[in-house]
Amino acid sequence: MKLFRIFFIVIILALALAACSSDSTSNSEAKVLTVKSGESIQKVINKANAGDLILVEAGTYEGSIVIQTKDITLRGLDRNAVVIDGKYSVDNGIVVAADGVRVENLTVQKFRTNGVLVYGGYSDQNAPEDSSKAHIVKRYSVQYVNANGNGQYGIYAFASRNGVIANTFTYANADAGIYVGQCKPCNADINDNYATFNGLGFQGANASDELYIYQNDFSNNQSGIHLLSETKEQKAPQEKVTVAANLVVDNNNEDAPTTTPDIFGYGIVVAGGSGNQVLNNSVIDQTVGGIILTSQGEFLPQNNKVAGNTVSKVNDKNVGNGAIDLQYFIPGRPDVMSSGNCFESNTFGSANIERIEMVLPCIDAAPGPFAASFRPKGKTKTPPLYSDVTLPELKEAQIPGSLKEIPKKIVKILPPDLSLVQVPSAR
Amino acid sequence: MRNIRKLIVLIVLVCVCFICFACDDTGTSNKTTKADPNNVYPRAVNNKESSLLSQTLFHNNQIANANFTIKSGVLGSGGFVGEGKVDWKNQIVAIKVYLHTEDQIDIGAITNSDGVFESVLDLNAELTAAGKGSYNWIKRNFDASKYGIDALSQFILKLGATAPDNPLLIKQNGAQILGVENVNGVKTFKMQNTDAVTYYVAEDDTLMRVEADIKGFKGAATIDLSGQTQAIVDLPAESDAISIDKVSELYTKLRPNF
Repeated sequence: MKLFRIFFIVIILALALAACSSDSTSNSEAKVLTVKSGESIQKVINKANAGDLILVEAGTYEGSIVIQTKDITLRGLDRNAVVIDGKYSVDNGIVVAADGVRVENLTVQKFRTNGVLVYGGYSDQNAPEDSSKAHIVKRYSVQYVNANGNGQYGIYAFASRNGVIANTFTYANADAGIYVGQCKPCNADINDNYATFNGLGFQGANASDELYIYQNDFSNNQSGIHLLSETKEQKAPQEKVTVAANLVVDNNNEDAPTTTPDIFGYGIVVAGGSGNQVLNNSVIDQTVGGIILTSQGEFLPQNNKVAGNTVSKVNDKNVGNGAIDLQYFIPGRPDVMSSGNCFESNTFGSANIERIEMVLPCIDAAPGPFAASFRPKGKTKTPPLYSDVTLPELKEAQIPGSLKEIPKKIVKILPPDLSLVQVPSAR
Repeated sequence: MRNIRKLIVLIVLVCVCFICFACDDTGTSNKTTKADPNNVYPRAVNNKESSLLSQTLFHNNQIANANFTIKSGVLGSGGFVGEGKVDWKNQIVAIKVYLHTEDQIDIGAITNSDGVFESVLDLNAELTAAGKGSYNWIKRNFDASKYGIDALSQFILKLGATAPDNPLLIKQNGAQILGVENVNGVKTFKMQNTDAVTYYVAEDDTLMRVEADIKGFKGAATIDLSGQTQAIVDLPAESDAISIDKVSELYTKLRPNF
């Protein structure tokens, strides 16, 4: 009888504790779940446990997808034929709100704000007002994804860290094709992506520390790569990002949609950032400026290194329209100090400071001040609405390897070996 | 011994009740009396509301155009009433302003990227009498810092955006919802962004009303929008306009200070 009572008590306690537990993590083996055309991806995601692989068969799937289970992989069986479609009426395509999530080999298009949003503060209604209190998503991976025709960003990693965005194609997104920001450290690799016909190719606002942007092709956007510090987002100033071996070509596209029509014709811009390295990029045919160090509001550029880049004009349309290859200026201040900013071993045709590499060398930099001025040319064409842009037929490469193999858990994001990265060939 | 066993069982049952109560994060006992936080105003916008606010100016551009009325202060006492049409898609705005009574237009303007066609009371008759020819419009450059009517036109044109705003940043930067109000028969969410402009947005993203302090004017202005997609703005014929340079002295006398 005594034994029975003890057993009864233990059972009751165990049941009470089990009911109280909110941790749904299962110890079961990871499994493969398949979504067929016409089925709900969200319903399958809601059933998935940590470690599971969700394979999506070819088809068009309407509406938003929110991933709140850690360490799952959402993978399309055909990158160009698995289409998550917002029909211009839904805010976000795929929201990654949990750690360790992979999004792979699919297309996400026509959403009112973002194609893929990596953000831990997401909830249906009442996300935290202050995103600094939100869960910081860690260990994210977005690879072999097409993100086209979205109202803000194609791929938007906000207040997240430890990530990879690679081998993506982003087109006709009104802000940037790819954005990483409000992160310190970001600890992310952004590589081998192709962003074209967007407002910006890449934007990193208040993105700092261990962020590597390399071997990407940012071409034919309104403007190319922009790193900036700004007060509208947290974690300013922007610091210590490496931009290496990118192909940045002809970002003067007035026909691309944009949220910022005044930002146009630049290759690589560091606005109010510090300690960044811009290395070995190929910047070609920019009508306003090649590589620019400048201020952003109260934030001044400091200790940035611009080295080994090729900045050239291959198109006659540049001649006489104000394009300057290398620029360092602070608006409203014609005489600027070096502030540790330096230029070294670049191949270029013009600069806004005479003998820029001699007066701003990367060894024993002179203090200045240096005469510097630049007035960017304006443009008159009104940009199209992102929702009016015809999207291209997709023929992007599939993710390599076995599609049905469950990937390993994302553990650590490693920085690239910069001695091995190479500027990609033009598409 | 039996009492001790009863005591143990009682303690266990109390523990179970306590655990179950503690893990009920819905707070069942308070549920019936707790007010829905979404019905409390003012408060920070939620995801749905920040989404509405992020889309509404872009929505204006998508729907292309609208009629509008504008009111500020009291007629005859420094205030004004206006009405007009705006075409965000083509960046044209036409506005008529009443300064004294609502049955007499004192000044009107049609503005696009090429400049401003402006007209004042009795313009044609005065030009004809002065031997300058018969014209219904003066053509001049746009200058929002000099002309109040240009500041109004600029503000109204800026109610159309070429892309959505960022809902995450809207929310993060403290946008507020002030209430739910009916504007001209439509349920709207009254919201304020950090720019201190108050927007009344319908559930389908349509901007129904704006309240704002427009630079250069004393009081707050209220702008009501209606007739979306049906407000076509035609530019005057160039042949019906004379350059302000040719009649500047006369026009300075005719033009009200607005």
